[in-house]
Amino acid sequence: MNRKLAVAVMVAAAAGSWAAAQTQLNERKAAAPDGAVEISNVSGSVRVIGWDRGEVEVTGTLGRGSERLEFSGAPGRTVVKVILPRHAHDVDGSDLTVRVPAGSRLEVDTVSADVEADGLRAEVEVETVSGTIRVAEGPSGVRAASVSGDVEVAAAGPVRAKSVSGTITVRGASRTFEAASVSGAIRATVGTVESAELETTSGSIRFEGDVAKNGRLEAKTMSGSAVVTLPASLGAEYTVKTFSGDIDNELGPAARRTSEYGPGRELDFTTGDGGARVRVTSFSGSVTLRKR
Amino acid sequence: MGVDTGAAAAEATVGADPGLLVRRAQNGDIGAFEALYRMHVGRIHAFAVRLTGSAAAGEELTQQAFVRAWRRLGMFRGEAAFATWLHRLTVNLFLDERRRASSRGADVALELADQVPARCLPDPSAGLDLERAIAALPPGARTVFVMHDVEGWGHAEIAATTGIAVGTSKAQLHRARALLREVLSP
Amino acid sequence: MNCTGARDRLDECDAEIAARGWPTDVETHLRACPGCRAHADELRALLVRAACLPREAEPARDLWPGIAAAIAAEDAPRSFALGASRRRLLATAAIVVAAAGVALVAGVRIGRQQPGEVGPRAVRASAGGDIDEAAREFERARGALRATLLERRASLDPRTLEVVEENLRVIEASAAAIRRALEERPGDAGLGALLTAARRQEIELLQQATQLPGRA
Repeated sequence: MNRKLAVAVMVAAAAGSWAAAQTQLNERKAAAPDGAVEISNVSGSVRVIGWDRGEVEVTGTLGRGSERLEFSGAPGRTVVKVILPRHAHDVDGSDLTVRVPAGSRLEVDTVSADVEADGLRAEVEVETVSGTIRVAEGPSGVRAASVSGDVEVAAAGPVRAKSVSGTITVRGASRTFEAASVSGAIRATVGTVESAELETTSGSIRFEGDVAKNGRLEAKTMSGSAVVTLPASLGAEYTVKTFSGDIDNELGPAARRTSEYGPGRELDFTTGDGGARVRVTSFSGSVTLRKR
Repeated sequence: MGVDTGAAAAEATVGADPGLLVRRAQNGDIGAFEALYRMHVGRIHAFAVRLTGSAAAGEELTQQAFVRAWRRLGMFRGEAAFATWLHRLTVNLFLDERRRASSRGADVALELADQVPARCLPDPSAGLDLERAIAALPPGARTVFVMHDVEGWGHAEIAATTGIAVGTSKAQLHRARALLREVLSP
Repeated sequence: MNCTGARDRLDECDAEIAARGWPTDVETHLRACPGCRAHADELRALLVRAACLPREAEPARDLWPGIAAAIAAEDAPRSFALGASRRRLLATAAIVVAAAGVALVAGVRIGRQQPGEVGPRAVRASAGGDIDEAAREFERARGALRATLLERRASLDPRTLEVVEENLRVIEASAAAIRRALEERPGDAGLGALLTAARRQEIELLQQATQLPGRA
């Protein structure tokens, strides 16, 4: 074989393996409007979009080295799962786009694949190790947990978002939420909350929103700073504490200082009719209360 | 599954028939398995510490060996004594770990791993005792020495368990003995 | 028999032979060869000492709790998909963490009590027992999960493992920082709650890690 021919053969072979590497997916299955959809994918990405058809559709690509896509289940529970070979060492990520009935309950599980969910109305549960999670407004409840990936969530119903080192962002009309991290920052830019808990050990906290009458906002960090921005008109009982940080308060001209540790360390005050409760604590970080 | 079965284990240990304990453990009785653990942990731990050359690594290997033993109990057919089976499992686990730990992965047989001693042999004049001298042996030589001269295995058995050739086992033993004599002789 | 032959034969001997006496043909050579005699004497000393090493040595700590818990975690299905079994497992972890939480909260309460303060002794004693038990339970779960993770290390994707280990370190460092803060301000309920939360994250991360899909 002359050299030219050899090169041509190699190129052809490479092209062939490339084609084999990227299996295109295009599969559909009937599904109940309010059934459960379970998706798992190790690496790559998962994009879930709610639609008004009574079926689940999977498109995208199956990564090189993956064994197959399991697409099974009954209409009430659909399973979409990337199956890897038993000795999978060099497998490329799979990028899945899954369209599901908008009222489906969604469960997504990945290792490093990023997850995005859009246009869903029922509950959404996502767990990943290093992937990022983004859930757009709409679900009646969200539970999202990533170890190192950032989490960004908006929901009509209750939200529970967790990360160890990723940043957690809560947006939109979420009225009840819990966000917890170890070192990741927590950001909330929301409407009026009924119950909000933001808790981190060394991350910083930023909250901007309002608290419903009789609602509750609690922000807790050990060494991060906390900045809470609320309307001046909010009637609330405030408790602000820091052991060694500073307190900067724009909201409480009538604040009483009652701490045994001296000024700037602990601050309790009430505004308006005091219906809501706001509690912000940092052990060594600074606490800032800002007027919106 | 309950794991708090200390009382059951204690009761089982007293005058229990080892064969019966193994059968009970094979049927999922964790109390019986705990009794087996209590019976064998001293032997396996001593073996593991010598194989690894370190107290901490020895504890870890012991722990892992019993976890693996539980998982593989179904495969124990009773041809060998349970203690022998446990020893084999421990040495295999140790070798698996070493192969994985070796930077370039897969193919490190006992003979290859020994080109560089695990650490310097102690100063002969220091009069170190045998245990410390064994711990300082290169891993492959140490493994074969512990199996052959401490535990009393034959070369064929060592070869069959570890996957090395009989000749390699002999060579490693020769090497280990030579190094130890050098260290221990006055 | 020459020296090489003699030494090869010696190599094949074990402690029993060494103690009983070398084979006759080897012995004949040894009588005539002081070098090989010295070699054989050293070998005998070594073999006898090796055979006399204690065959049993109890570990310094009881390894069983870790083994039992690792087995418990093992026996739970390792399937990757979300499912009832996995939820049950997580629920178990939650109970363990809740127990640890009780311990921490109770610890905080007791920490607040000044030495001179009078408290119902019986209540304090029993609370102490519960705390110890809960703390032990937590440590057991943690130890077991760590052992399981250790055992699965090689089968996990190295990058994923790195993320897990890095984040375990983040949690560890956080917990240590909270404990230091608690020394400065013993009894601070907020810090106690943060410590509980960090521990819960640790258990959950370990749970998640031990259930990751393996490569081999």
